[in-house]
Amino acid sequence: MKKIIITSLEKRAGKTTVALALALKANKKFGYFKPIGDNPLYKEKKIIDYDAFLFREVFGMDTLPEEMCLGLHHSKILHFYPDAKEEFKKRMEKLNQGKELFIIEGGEYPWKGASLGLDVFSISKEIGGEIIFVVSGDYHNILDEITYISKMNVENLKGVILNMIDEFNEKIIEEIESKGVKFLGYLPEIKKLKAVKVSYIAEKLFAKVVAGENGLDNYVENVFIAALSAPEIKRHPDFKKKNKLIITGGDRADVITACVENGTSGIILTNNIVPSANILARANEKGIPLLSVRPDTYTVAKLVENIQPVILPEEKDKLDEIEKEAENIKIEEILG
Amino acid sequence: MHYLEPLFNPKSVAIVGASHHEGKIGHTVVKNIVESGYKGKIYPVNPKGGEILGLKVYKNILEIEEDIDVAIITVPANVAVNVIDDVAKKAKFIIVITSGFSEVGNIEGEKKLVETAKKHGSRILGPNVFGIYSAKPPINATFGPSKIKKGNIAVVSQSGALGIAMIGRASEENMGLSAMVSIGNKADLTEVEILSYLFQDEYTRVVFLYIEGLENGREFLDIIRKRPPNKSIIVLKAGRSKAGARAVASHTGSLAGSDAVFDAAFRQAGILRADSLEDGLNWVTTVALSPAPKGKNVVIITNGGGLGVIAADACEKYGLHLFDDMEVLKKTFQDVMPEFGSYKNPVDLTGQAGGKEYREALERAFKEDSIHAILALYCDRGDSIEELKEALIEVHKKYRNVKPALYTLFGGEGATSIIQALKREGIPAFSDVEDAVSSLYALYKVNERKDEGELEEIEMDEEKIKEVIENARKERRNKLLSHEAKEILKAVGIDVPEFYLAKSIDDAIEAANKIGYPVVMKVVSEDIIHKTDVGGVVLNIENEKEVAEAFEAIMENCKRNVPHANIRGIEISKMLPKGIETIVGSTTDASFGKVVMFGLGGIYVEVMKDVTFRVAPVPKKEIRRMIREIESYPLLMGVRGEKRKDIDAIVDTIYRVGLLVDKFKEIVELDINPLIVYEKGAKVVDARMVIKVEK
Repeated sequence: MKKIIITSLEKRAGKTTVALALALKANKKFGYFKPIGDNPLYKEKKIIDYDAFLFREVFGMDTLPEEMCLGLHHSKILHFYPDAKEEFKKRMEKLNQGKELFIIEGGEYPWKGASLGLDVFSISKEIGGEIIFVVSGDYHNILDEITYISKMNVENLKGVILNMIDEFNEKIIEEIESKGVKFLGYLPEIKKLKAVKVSYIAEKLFAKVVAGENGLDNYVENVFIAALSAPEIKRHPDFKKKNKLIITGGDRADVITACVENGTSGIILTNNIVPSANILARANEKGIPLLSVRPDTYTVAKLVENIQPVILPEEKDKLDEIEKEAENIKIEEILG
Repeated sequence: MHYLEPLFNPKSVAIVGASHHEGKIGHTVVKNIVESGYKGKIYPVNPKGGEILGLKVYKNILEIEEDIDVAIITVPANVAVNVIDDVAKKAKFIIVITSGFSEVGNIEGEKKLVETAKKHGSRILGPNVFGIYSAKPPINATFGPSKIKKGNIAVVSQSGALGIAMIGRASEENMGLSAMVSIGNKADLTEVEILSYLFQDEYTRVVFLYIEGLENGREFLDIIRKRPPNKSIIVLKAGRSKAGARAVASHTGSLAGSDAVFDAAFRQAGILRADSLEDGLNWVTTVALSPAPKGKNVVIITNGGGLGVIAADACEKYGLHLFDDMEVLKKTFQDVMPEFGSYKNPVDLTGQAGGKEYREALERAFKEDSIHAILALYCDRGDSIEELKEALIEVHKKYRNVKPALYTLFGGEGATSIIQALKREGIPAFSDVEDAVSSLYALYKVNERKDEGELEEIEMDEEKIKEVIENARKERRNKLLSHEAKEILKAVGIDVPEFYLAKSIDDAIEAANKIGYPVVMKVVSEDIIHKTDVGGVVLNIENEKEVAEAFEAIMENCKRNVPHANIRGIEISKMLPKGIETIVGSTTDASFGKVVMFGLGGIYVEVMKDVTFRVAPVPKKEIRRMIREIESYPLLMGVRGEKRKDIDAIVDTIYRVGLLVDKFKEIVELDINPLIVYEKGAKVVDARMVIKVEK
């Protein structure tokens, strides 16, 4: 059974996307485990890692999400498993039964879980798994990270996969391999993956949907903070972008009306102020969700910025796109 | 003798800034004093000397040999601050007519006036006033109209212009005044001290007070509560518009707009508040001219059925009781009317009734003991005006001290001429029936004395409360954490379900096991006010595993949504069964100090703003009245098969909150939201408190 451990030096490098690509492309019976979660989903009074939940849903796995993750917080992990490493070994034994490929996704950083013996290096040593680093960014950022990785003297280093590459330049392969690190392929930037449903944003912000419920499946690709007057907003170039999410104060009736009339994916109304009934009615008619939240516009803008786009299990088109682009990954070499 | 007696009944008066030129304020004041028939000594003061209206003019107040009861300053503001020292040396009371002080931002100048006067033991009325009229001497020391009729109405006005206009109106309405006082900027003497004088003044029967704000609300309420039984007051307070939005941490703070609190405070003390100037003047005239009704039975006598119905509707609106003893009504009125008339109340004498019929009907109404108040209505037929006028005036004058009778005459010139004649005779007369009914309502209201109940001691763990407040202060924190607020509420005996602050999963599990499942878990942080909005609350936790999961979920949510928040831990408390959600709060009002609030929770407070206030502390009897004021009160009594909720428990909670904030004035704002009320008991689910922390 091949054991692969996916990690990255930076957050949001796209570990889960690469893990999905491998699972989709490998065409093997595979298992998935994320010892320390970082994307919480609280469902039915249980906290699970979203990525574990996603894998289960997408691949129809028998294993429950909570079995595929020990927990998100050290305190909880230690509460239930005073010897977390032992528990990890036990779970591995159970989960890898009958599998040909086993993918372990590391935490936000390679050292996450080190005090519990669950960082990627300890895990690799424990199970003999090979480590793949996911690296993203511009040309120079990639080279910086790979240079650093090459100096880390990582045991069991399999290589690197580049992610979110705007324009792939073959020249980089030589550069990477000159540092003694294996280039294992890349995934281009898949714009579709940045799009997020309004319903997801509503959930993350604990927003109240006050109108336009039938538009909750609208996608958001851009965010626009409407801090100008209505006429100025209409002239602003960002306002013309498609699939935008508007953030504005709930008392800005003129702005909200302009946004509703001009078409938008959704509007977040800040400061717990809800506009008049006729604006709500119009938003209902146009199918534009209005989400009411309590914090001020600045705070909400920061929260929205921090929302990590996720792939929802039902988003087949995103998964198809990943599978298509996975052609660029050297799957045979990884599995060999 | 009341210490303000020399102000209202001066033996000598000086006018500093007396003018030789007609039309100037300094001249008008002297002229009005002279023409009012004032018998005391008058000392005009002007550096030019000479004579004004035959009176010697002193060049300097210090030239006047004797001490003076009242000095009136009319010189400009910049001169006033220079002369005040000399004036205060001579005069007990100084009326500063001059404007240009705090009302235009000149706070320093105003402060100087008061401090200098105080140095010499003198008191200031004003600045920015129009003067004073007092019937006792008599003296008209104003720059308004000179002719003021003596009577038993005292007018106290914060607005100079309005006060002057009221003098004119009083004359038109034939209203007699016992005093007219302008309080202006209230730099020293305020309405409270003026009222303390007027309530013991033999000339004054009713006070009409116009104010725009109050600095000393509590003293104001107290002085009115303690007034003698034969003194009445009607208040017109301007400024009903909503207060601007305030950035406050509590619901109570955001709902307690200034006028809502005033309204509540007046209701609490049983003060009659007029909604308009017109109402205020109608009411005060009626009260001044009418004896107090001896009971609640009102009879309407009319010659027009339609007008009678309108009057009956108005009586219902104002809660006046229409006398309905048919036997007595029949015996009293049946033979005063034709067969097609009606002796049922309203008593319809029919359209053919004239002076003779009205005379007879009114005589009988006045003589019948079970009738306590009369509303007489007349639809002008265009004839028999003189006969009617004579009848009304004669009968009313004969019985004017027996019971109140108010007259409404509706129609053309005839009706108007009768109204004017009645007013000249000091008889309450109106052209609009609603004005008459509302005036009768006012007459009833001003004569009611409210029993608010008594305050009783409660047990309070003051040491505990001080300790909690001190801990927060040490951290320079003005917002108490919810468990701290709950500690304080527990310390005053309010029912707070068991709770613990857990800093780890182990702590949380231990606490949950101690309390018993199901439990609720809430994040505790001074930086997170609205916990649900950030995923900081989990309900209905039923076992240890769920406690651990919820602990992790809350920490993660807060880390993501409020990354800067200082998280103290997670509060574990019992999950309470469903009941009626209410909110009990307190805030600090600029005029009245500590104020308590009650309302039903959820949409009732957030959308409908269905809340009620009182000035704290509040006796339980008054709290019961307070609770009944909310629109959604029937929900507490039980609707659609629901049982009645424990009102006593709500009363007790509000009572204790009132005593708490009265004792610990450093608690600036407080919210218990929600307080869940059951058939038996009421429990605190969540609480917030803001304390004062010195900078």
